[in-house]
Amino acid sequence: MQEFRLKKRVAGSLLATSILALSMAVLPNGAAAQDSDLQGEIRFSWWGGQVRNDKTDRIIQLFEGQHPNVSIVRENADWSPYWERLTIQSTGNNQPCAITMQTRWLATYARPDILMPLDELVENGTLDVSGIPEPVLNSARGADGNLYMIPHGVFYFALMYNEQMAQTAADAGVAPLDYPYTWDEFAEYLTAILPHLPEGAASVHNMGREQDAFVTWVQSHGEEVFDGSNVGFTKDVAVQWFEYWEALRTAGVTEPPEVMISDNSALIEESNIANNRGFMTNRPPNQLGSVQTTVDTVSPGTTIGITPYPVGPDGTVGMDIGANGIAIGASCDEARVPVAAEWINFWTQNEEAAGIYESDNGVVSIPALATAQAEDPDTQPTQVEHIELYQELIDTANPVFWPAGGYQALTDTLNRAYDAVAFGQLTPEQGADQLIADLQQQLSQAAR
Amino acid sequence: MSSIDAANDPVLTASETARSVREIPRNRTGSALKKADNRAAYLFLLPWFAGIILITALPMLASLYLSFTNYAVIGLPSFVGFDNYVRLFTSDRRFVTSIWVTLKYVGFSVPLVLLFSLTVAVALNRGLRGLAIYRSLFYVPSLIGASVGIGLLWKEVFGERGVVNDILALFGVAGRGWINNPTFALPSVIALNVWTFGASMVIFLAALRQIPESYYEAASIDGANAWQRFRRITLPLITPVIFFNTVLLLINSFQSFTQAFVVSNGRGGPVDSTLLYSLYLYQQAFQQLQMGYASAMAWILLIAIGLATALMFWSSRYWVFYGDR
Repeated sequence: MQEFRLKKRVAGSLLATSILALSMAVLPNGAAAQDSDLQGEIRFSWWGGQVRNDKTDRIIQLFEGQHPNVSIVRENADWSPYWERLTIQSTGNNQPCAITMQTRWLATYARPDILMPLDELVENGTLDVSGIPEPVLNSARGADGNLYMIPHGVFYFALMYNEQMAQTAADAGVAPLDYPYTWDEFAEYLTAILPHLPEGAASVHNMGREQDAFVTWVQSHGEEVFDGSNVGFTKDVAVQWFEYWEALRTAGVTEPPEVMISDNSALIEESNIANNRGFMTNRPPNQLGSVQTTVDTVSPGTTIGITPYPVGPDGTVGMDIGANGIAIGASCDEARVPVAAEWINFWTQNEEAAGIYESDNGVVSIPALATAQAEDPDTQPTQVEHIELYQELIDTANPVFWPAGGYQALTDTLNRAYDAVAFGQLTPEQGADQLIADLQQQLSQAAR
Repeated sequence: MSSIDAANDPVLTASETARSVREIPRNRTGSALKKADNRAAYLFLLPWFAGIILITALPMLASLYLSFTNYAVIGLPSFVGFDNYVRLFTSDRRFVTSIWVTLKYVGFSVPLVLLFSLTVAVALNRGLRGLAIYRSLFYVPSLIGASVGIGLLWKEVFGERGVVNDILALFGVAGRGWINNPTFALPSVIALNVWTFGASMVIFLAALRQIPESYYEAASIDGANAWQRFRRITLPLITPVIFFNTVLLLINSFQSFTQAFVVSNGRGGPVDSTLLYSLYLYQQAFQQLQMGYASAMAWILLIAIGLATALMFWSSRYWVFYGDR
């Protein structure tokens, strides 16, 4: 574990330098070389909505066009059902050959009987990882040190805001928020902007229950979210978190708790930011394109921008990053492994495929491809913004190591604890106690 | 007397003996036919036997075994004895919450469904024109009420910007996010369950139509008013059906899942206010991947439902009138 933590810290600091250095590198060669001998059928699973499905379908068609004897069976699901299905498939040893995986979930599945260790395939050249920064590649290793997926996209977290509302407030004399800003400066800005918003609109979605925001808060205050399979943060930092959002809520800067819950679960079409009922919210920046498309329909003329999370009192950046990639199921038979490997190579290395995908599920992991995408005039402006902010922030990111069951546990327990605080059932101190106790219980249960 | 005995009996005449001997193959044929009949019966029953063994009995046994293991779905189960049961009753705060929420849900929804369905059945039993149409209309919600689609619809209807609030606004009443408030979320789910009263109503209606009209005529002649006729004739005569409906509703309510799952996005919130027992069991099994723990919960639920049903049967001797005792 000690060694892993060290690895993680090294990963955080090396990520930027590696990406910057490699961004000037030439594209990998021969990765997607046509292999007419390749044949067979594999199943490929991924999560996401219709936009991502369409892009994935186009990439599959492109791949199948280059490999006429290969067929890829599409298995798509929404986020939560995706993991439930993968678990059931893994139980029955029926997981697809090519499985979209994420670092936040990797610890749950990173076992040789569920996912195939890929180091050997990398060493013998079957899998091409050229151009993928070493720290990004290492984030795809399990606790046993084996490489379990090939990362194709690096995701991060940020805030979305209504640019017209920001401009209106600026015109009225509210000083714009320039990054880096602390959490206190962030709260002051949100309070100042409130009188200049449309009637009934809240300055910010109440993020007291949002784990992405909480992780950033904890790390920006110099603490760890997890200590191996244990809770890594103190009660104080959790109390301060709840008090921070309660102060904003009682001042009317955020929405009431009932709206907080409905906005959290609603479709983009129904969200506050899409309907001019809110100035700012937290949504993954890779969704910027989808959000803007929706806003264009619901509130024409409104444009959505993205900005980083605040930093800690001493300027510490708490932003977590993670990687999405493709793993090979342990049940994938020997004859299909070359097909799965070639599919992974194609997805991660082929410039045309990367261009179709447009960093839809995280900024493309090869820096040269990311730069090419950002410079391509055909890339949607929202995706360019997504990539550019990533390139600006990546060297300060602090990736979290998510233990088995950790993502689900933190999401569930934070939701419950802050909801109880917001509805007045618990004080911030009691909420923090409950959060830590419940989270520890779930982590211990998952680690049994 | 068997035909073999008859053949050895010196008192029998030759013709009787011959007749008895001729009966031998006939009896054998009958036995063979019986065996063939049995084989056919077993053959027809085979799918049911296969179903009960493969789909019910074996999974139940597996679940019983898993309840004594630590089984995280991925990987192999490891035997932990009664550890899961001990943890449930000693250190799981949400387990206790889920029991409390379920008891509230059952305690309110079962009587309300009974009351509502009986009231509508009595109203429809008055020789209403177009009875079949009304009966079908009232029955439809019970067919679709437990579906995901209706759960989603309910979520919209009772949401912050839902129809319920629109209607309240017409009367100047400020609405709220009923589903998103811990005080009103469970009552909203109960309301959805009560809305599916159609199945109970149809059963009540069938029972009401079995009561001879002459009973009511005699009571009317004796001066009984409508309430007295209902109280003294209708209610006692339909107690077997009330009992039947109560047991069914009780079992279904204890296992209720879909509606709470859909309106709370699978979380049982806000603040665990809709954390029904089955939903918590699901969370343990498929979200936290604690299949051994969830199996222990399933067995506790089975025992609880069994006890509740046994209690109902025990109490029935005091209030159910079968007419033949």
